[in-house]
Amino acid sequence: MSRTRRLPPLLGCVLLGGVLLALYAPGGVLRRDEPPPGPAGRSPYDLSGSIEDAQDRLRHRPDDAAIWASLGLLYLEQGRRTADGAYYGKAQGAFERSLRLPTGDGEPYIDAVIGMGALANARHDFAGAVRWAERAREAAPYRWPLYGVLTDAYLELGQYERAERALRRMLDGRPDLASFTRAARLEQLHGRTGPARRLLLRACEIAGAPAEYAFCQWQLGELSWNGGDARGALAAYTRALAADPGHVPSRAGKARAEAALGHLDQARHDYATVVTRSPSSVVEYGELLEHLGDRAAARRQYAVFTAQHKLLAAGGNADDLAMGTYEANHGDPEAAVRHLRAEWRRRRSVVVADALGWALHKAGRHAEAAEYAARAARLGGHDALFAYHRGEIERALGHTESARAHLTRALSINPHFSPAGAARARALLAATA
Amino acid sequence: MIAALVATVLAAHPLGNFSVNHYDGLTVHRDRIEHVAIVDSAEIPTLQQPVSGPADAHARRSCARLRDAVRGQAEGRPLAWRVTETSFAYHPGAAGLRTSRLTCHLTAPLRVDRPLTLTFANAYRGDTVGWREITARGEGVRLSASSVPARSVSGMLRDYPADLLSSPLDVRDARITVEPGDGDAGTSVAVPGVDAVTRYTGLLSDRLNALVGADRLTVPLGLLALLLSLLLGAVHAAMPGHGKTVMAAYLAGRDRRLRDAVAVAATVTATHTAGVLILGVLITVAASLAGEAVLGWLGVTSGLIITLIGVSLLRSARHHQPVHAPAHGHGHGHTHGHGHGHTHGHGHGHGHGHGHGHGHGHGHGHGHGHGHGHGHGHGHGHGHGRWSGGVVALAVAGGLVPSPSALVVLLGAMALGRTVFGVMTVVCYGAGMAFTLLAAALALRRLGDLALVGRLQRLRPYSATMTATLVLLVGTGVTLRAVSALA
Repeated sequence: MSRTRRLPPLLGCVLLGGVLLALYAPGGVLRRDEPPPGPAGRSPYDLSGSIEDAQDRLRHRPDDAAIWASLGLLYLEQGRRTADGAYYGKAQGAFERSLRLPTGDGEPYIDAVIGMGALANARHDFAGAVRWAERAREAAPYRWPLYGVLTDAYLELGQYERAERALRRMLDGRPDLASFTRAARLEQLHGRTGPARRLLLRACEIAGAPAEYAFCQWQLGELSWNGGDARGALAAYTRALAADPGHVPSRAGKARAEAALGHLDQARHDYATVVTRSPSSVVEYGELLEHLGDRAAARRQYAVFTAQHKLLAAGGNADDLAMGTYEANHGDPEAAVRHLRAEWRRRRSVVVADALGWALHKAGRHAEAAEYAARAARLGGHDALFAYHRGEIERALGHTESARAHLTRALSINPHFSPAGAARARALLAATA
Repeated sequence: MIAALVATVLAAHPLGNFSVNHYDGLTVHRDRIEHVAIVDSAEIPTLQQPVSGPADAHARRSCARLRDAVRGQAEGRPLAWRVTETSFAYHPGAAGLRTSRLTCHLTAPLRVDRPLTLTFANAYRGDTVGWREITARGEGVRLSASSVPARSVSGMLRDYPADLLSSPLDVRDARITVEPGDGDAGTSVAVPGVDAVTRYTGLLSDRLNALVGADRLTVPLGLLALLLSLLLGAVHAAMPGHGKTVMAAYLAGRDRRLRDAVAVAATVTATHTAGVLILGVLITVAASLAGEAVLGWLGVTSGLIITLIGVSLLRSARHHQPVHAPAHGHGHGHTHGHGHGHTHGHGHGHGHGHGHGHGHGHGHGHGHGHGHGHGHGHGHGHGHGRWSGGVVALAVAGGLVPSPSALVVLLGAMALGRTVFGVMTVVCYGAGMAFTLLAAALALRRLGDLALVGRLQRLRPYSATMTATLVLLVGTGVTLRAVSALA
């Protein structure tokens, strides 16, 4: 009996010892850098691993709205990263499952609502993105990602004041990579290159995942490129690719910069890699090939572009901006005007204004073209292509001095803005000199 | 009609109309290995790779390039592939465009007269996005091991699974072992059936892990987590294999008083908690310590202890049987009789525990393999006298292998800097176990004497020996299983 009584106190002491050891063991030892052998065994940056985990958990718990929403976001990210639209369909399916499932308070799961907005942005349905984000804002005004969706959508819609308000809200709430890169974009649109660069450098400092670092290095590269610094751009794109070799936009940027610096073989090689992964740069590649005199190869790239847009249109996701820009440069200017007018009805961003102005100029309507070209310049951004387009339009209207000014400005902003365009701008300046 | 066609074609390419999808089907014969390679290109890649000249010539050229990109090795020696048959055809795709399908049949000589390890990889157009699938089967030979399945889940790139929970396959290499003989065994993996209780406890502990790892730990959330761990512990003690512990608790309650039952329960909580905490701290502090190895060695130790107890039980049973039966008799003999069952179940519990722990890693299969309580149950059932030493030892043997689910929660909490909270969850877990044991003991005590117990009394004189033998057997079994799991 006496032993029985002595046993619990003894074990109590062991227990106490264990507790004390657990509590007072040095914290540095308790928190090691490597992931704990617990449930969080997967790096949050391992996208396909995270997708597998979410799929696994949903097989056990098919009614978890939160996991469906996060799976949707992962699919969306996968779609962005691989430039593969098929993942957008999967993302939509996952978000819709999440939205249908009941949650505690009867409201749909908020990340799914925001996700639908992000998906709408990815599919260029910017008005739809605003609707989803506003719905999320009503339900949960402190979910910061919704302001990211809102900022992107307003920027694309050309509603720059609203974009700035949403962005300010986001920066106040969560100054992170997502808000810094967006702020940089807005600064750039207003022609404030210095602040844009500082914001991007800060974003690169806080980037966690290799893909995030690649993203902001790519943005730095774009900034350098748009400012005419091909060498700096090439360095940034190379850094981005070192972090994430599969980052398609950086590969395309690298090819563009190499072409500008005269490394033509390397440029062709990089472009060829890009176009097996994503259709986004086929026109750019074709234009380079055409400039180098390989018309047949250029036509093949243009054919890929046309096919891609046929497929998009068949799927109900026609991209009028891309189609119109392509038609204006390589096809039928009247068709270009039709596409871009349709786009202009949907959104009035500076990019659409410039494209529509250029299409109208190609179609011979120079006066109307000048109006849109002026609208494209309304934010005060430094864009060599816009300036070149304006110069051509002014020249067509007979305003030689103004034309010369715009063309000179285009070449001073970025002497390599387009292989054919830059050459022509130089020729025109020489001819009128 | 056209819409339906478009729909099927769109569904046909899981990675969109920019994908190049690969299938490699390997068939190993006694004298050769055959390889069917199919490359299914969606609309855009079909357009990007224009066919110049007749389709046959194009197929032959493409298959020759594919052959050069295929790497196959048997026991480290490269296989010499030869193209035997080729075909190339267009199929209608979306938006009036075409998709294309290239099929190449390759063969390489191979003599399977002894077990061979084959490796295979296909690097043809490896930089494109797309579905990548490899299958392997044997004809006249047996695949004793294979890293890839025997059957194509996509019907050789004709019907891609399109549900929301499947990702496109991306299998780029295969490793198979073939040996002479018939049958296609080894490639099918039996999925162990999981009973409902285990499944739901698994869900419950997933939820607990999620709570412990939540971004912000509020008071209600913390209380919920503690409640959950209490519940998990309670369910855990009621799992199959724990019924014996309950019996032990019952005996403690019957032979002694309520206080003894409480003592049993308290000991269960304490030993379990201490075991989890100590192992948790050990694993965290010593970075080189692999949790699985520790669990394995603890299993061996606990098996050895049980064996030793069995030996000493047997010795003392033979010594004391005739003399002691009338003196302490009742309680003893009786307790032993039941003791069998307990210890037996106990031993198995351990065995399973290891098997599961290794097989699934963390978070699953917690239901099995917790032997902690049992030892104590015994201990207190026998209570005092010369058995106490053995009882304590049994308790230690049981407590040596902590519950993996509680350990996972503790480690997760520690990693997030929430050590105190993790410890609290583990304590609650043990308390939940104790609660179930106590409740069962009390309920059984109310039910009074069972007929079975009455009948068993007739076996009383032999029960001590029988117990001892069984404990010995179980101890040996546990040790052997633990050792084999280590190997």
